[in-house]
Amino acid sequence: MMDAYVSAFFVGGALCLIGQLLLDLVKWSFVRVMSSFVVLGVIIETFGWYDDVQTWAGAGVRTTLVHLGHACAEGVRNEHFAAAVFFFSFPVFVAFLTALMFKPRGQK
Amino acid sequence: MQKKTYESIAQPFQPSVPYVMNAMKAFIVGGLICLFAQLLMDAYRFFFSMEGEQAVRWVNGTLMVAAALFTPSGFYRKMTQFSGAGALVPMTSLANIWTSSALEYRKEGLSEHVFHVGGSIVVTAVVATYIASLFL
Amino acid sequence: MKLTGKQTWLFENDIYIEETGTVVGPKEGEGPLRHQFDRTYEDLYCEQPSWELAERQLMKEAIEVCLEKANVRKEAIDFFVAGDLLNQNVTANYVAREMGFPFLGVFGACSTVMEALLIGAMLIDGQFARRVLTATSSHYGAAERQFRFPTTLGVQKANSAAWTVTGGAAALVSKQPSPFRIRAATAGKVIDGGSDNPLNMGTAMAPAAVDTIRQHFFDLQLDERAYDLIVTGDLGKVGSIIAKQMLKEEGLEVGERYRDCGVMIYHSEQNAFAGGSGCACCAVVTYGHLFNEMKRGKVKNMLIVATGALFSPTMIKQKQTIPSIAHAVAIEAVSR
Repeated sequence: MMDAYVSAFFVGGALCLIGQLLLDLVKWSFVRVMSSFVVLGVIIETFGWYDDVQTWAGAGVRTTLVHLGHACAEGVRNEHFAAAVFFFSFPVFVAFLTALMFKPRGQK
Repeated sequence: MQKKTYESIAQPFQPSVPYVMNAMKAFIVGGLICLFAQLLMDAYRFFFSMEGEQAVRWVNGTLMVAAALFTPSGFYRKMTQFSGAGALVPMTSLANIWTSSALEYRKEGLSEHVFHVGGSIVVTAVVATYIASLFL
Repeated sequence: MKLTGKQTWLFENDIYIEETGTVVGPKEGEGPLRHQFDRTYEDLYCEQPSWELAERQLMKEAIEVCLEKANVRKEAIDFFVAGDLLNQNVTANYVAREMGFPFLGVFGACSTVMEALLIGAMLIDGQFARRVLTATSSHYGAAERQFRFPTTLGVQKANSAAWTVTGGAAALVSKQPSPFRIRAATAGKVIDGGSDNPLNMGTAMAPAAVDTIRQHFFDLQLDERAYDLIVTGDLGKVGSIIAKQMLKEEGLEVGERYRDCGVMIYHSEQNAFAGGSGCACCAVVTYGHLFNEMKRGKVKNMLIVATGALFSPTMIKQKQTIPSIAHAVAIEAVSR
């Protein structure tokens, strides 16, 4: 039971650490870093390794952009796009509602 | 002015990037977000008896709503300034990136500009998925 | 001949900055110079619905404050020379529409303030006008979303990044005696040091500032002791050190005489990264703080070198480098 939390923390943290190194050392833009994590998810799913990864890492990958890439490719595999559509459409929906309700405060 | 010579003059005065510190912050914040997500996932499974993928969707949805609500006040930006990729690799960043664009362009028609910054992520994902579909 | 040397004008008549007006936003209102400005807004929106309109309000109010302090009616203004950071100089255009002055729009990115001032001084010196009003403005939100990212987007900024100053400033140029006389001005060349990082403007602008300062001293055959203060516009903490080093290599030991408006405007604990930038940075610090110092007699004469990075997001995306420019105006205190 505790293993799931430990692996979630370390896998999630490690992915973020790699992202940070891509930003700082390789000097990629943040959009490119985000895109490449999505592509990583697509690749892992295409090779059929994702199920093992997510069973082991749990939320460590399932809340990251890798999971989004996986959902896209899995949609192609199963001809069932519910997850992929959700992960793309929900943030847009939330963004739309938030922008209707609030305005940017602007920082000091 | 020669590009090479000016670069060699300016280089020693550039502030150093705290690589190690940034990487550690990213690791800890990103890890904590995923840890919290795991907790939430187990809680949803336990209290609402959700199954695998459904729980994942609800957890991500919850985190995205939280990220979107933290965006207008600038809190999410402050967190990213601290944690760097720690708040970029979790899917919450999608909610932030699109909310911030929509917020910023709400006077000029927000639906037109939702993908102002993050549009290339959608394009990359769709292209990658199509290429993957050739192999699946 | 008023042209002295290659790029410098030495004005023959006594040309004065009759009065100035400065209005700033909340962050500047908490900075170390907070008591030096005429008006301060608590809110970044300045009681307007959007940031572009807020910037317009800032410029308009700076002009109103300036005219009020000078006790000059709008009808007495012959020409209005103004510019700002936004595309197509929208702020200046709309303010000019409201004010109804004959209008010359100028763009020099953050160097706009001194460009407007030197054009104003030339119009007066050549007797093409009696009173010229110059103005400039910038706004954090409006500039940030035009040149970089939406303000609420989560991106980690490097310590070399600058913070756009929210503010508006206006100066009235005429032959009416006042404590501030414009002696000389140098128009700069566009210099490209080859840097291409939009989050490191100080490094991009430093060579332009150095080139203009060097040319100014060369044209007028002066050395650095001629001025009490040599002030650059918005090089920030990174750029100002580079500029100082480069000036040293040129043989100009500026030392304690050298200041930078971008460093002066914020406290170091205000999370402003390398310091302030934007059209209003040099403008509000000069017209607010430095002119007050002159009035108190602490500074006898100074050289203001406003620096501007002429960069456009489109050109950056096409992998072009950032050209930059600097204009210098020498101002001396007149004791009445």
